[in-house]
Amino acid sequence: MTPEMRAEPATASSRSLGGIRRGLGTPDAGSRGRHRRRGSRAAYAYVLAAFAYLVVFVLYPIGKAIWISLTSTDLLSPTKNEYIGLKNYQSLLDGGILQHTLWLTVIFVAAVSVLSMVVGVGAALLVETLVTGKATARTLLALPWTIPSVVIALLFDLILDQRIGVVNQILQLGNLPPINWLTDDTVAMVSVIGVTVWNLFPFVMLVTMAALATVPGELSESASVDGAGRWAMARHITLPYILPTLQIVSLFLIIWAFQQFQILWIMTQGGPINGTDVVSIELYRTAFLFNDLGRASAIGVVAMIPALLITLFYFRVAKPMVTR
Amino acid sequence: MSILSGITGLRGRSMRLASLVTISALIFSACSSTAATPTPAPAQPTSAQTAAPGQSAAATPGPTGTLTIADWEFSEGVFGTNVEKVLKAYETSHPGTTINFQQMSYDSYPTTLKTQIGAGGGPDIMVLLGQDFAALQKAGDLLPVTSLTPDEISSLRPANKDAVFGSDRLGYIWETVIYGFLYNKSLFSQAGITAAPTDFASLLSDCQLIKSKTGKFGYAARNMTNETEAWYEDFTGTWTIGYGGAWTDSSGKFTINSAANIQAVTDYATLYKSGCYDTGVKASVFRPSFENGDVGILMDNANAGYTYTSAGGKLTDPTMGSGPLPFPTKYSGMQQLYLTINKNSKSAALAQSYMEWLLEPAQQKALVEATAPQTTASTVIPSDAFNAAHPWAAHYYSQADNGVSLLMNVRPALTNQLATTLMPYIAKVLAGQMSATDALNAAQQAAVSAIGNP
Repeated sequence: MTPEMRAEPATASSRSLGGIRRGLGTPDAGSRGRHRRRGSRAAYAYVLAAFAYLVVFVLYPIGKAIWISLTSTDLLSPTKNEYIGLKNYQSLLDGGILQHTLWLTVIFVAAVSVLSMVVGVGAALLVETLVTGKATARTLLALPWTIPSVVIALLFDLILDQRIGVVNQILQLGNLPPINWLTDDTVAMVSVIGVTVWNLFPFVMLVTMAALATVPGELSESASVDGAGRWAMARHITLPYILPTLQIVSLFLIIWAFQQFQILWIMTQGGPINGTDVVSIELYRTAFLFNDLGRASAIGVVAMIPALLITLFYFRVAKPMVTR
Repeated sequence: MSILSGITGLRGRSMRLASLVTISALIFSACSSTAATPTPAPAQPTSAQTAAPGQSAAATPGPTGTLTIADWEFSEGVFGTNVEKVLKAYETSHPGTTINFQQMSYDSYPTTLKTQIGAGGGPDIMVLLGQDFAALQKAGDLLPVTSLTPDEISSLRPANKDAVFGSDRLGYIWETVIYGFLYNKSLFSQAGITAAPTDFASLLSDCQLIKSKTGKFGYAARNMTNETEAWYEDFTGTWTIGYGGAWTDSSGKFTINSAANIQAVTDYATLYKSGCYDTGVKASVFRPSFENGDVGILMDNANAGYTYTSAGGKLTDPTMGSGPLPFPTKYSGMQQLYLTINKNSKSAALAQSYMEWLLEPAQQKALVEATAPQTTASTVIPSDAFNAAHPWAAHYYSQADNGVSLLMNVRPALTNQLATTLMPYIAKVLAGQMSATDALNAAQQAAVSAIGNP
């Protein structure tokens, strides 16, 4: 008989003894312990499931992307890859395209995030002041959020068309010169930012309205009785309540702006004269037009860094400040 | 709100790490969206043009099974139906076989196909655009077509030579899209123009006359960088090749800043800025304009020409004229579409047999009738009745042997990179930001830096 074989009955009996002893004091303690053990097993199972999900669907793809970025991999023959070290990253830096693309991405992301936030919060405050028709206004303003971005892009592609677009036709009715909304490299960036903001601001509006609903009415009333002005109430009562929500919304906006693809691809394909050539466009083009998965993965890895930094900043600096 | 408060309420380093990783994955997924590459819709021949081949042929022994054929044109109305009818006739003459069709929109076709093949799947036989054909050839994803008879090989148009690599024929031409000169005779007449232009000076003059005398635009063409690849093809197929230029020499080295190319871009920019060019509009806008008699001149392909006169607009077969490009050489660009066998095909023997069958004269005749006025692999042309009804189409058949590939020499798979590098510089010339010489010098440097010379 091996020690392992002997240990089992001993453990079992001590467990039983413990159960009997505990049972002497409180009749249900044994079953509570069993429940606790069962509960902790279930907790481990849940954590394991979540961990497995993270490994399979998040960590593995990221790890794979990093690996591919270190190889010369063709989309059409992905198994025939060769390890080339940091050559893909080197080529991104050498060409100067990445710097240009990253700079445009920063402009696009910053403009979309800030403008969506300003317009969204503004719309929420405006709707909140309405005495009647609040639900209708909210529904109408939320519509752009419900339309798929592909449809929005096609719609605005027509609306902003240089010759047949309704915007230029209105301008011409007012004897104003038509604007090259999508054919001038500077104006095109403004156009795609505007369309993206139109798509995203309703989300900010809806979330802000929900946050505003959590501000206790009695606080505002007391402050008002104490003589607080509108600005003081907004600063000391409303803002502290909605700030945590706005911060997480801003994080979402930044990430969504980073991910924007359809609107830009359909309306400008990164043009004209590379004026709207943001990271997602460059990445798609490299992977699916040039069939260069290795280089595309390198672009993805580089693009991930600012997103990670922003997320880290939020969790390390911004969120603790708000929580305090 | 519950999601937001759930995230803001996260506690613990591990949960924060998990959310960080998840958010990073979201960033990574940014590239997983759909593509959109607008291009011309092929013509829609009438069902009367279709003849079903092989109906009376005796059953032929050979490989049996199921064959899947992919072509974006299958989803394009009457045209697709007519083509399917011709291709499906194989089942009649070859009992025990089933022909299936894989339908995809043009926009998603290249990406879907490349992804399928990269993953080890895809259809058995597929129609490929020139640059995708080149990319798949480079990746070794195409099977050599070994089943053609000597008679069939001798019946092939010269454009088929580009499908031969060493001793391997990796397919044959499905369709050649050749550029030609199309004009509205009615607008020409109103402007007092008696003949089609033969050089750039007369093209510019005619364009301006149409604008001044009729108020309509004299000329239109792609000029938008959100149609980069298509704009590259249109520009290269007309101005560059018409002027005797090329972006690479026979050894594959870049010749972007050659004298012929600079002259072509200079003249193009002159026309662009002349006030008679319908600038800033996409093909989806200027093509219907031409069809409705609002534009005098296009340089376009035969399928587009067929569409213009068949859509019930103001332009009809008698009022639309065609001819050679008004440029120094007799050549024009040609987009080659290939019929190929996928290396991953599980029915390779059947696919070989099918490829051979489709090149037989009866099938070629049926295909040409079904797809007229496109030119196919062989020299077969449509019936006299078709040519009489569409007199402008004759030019395209005669031009078929003067077609020049739009792809880069030696390294055709890199043509998309060239297009993406080059066209923004031409856009700068149109925007008045650079001269043609400076722009093409800069484009030459950029191409050498980004793509390299062989």
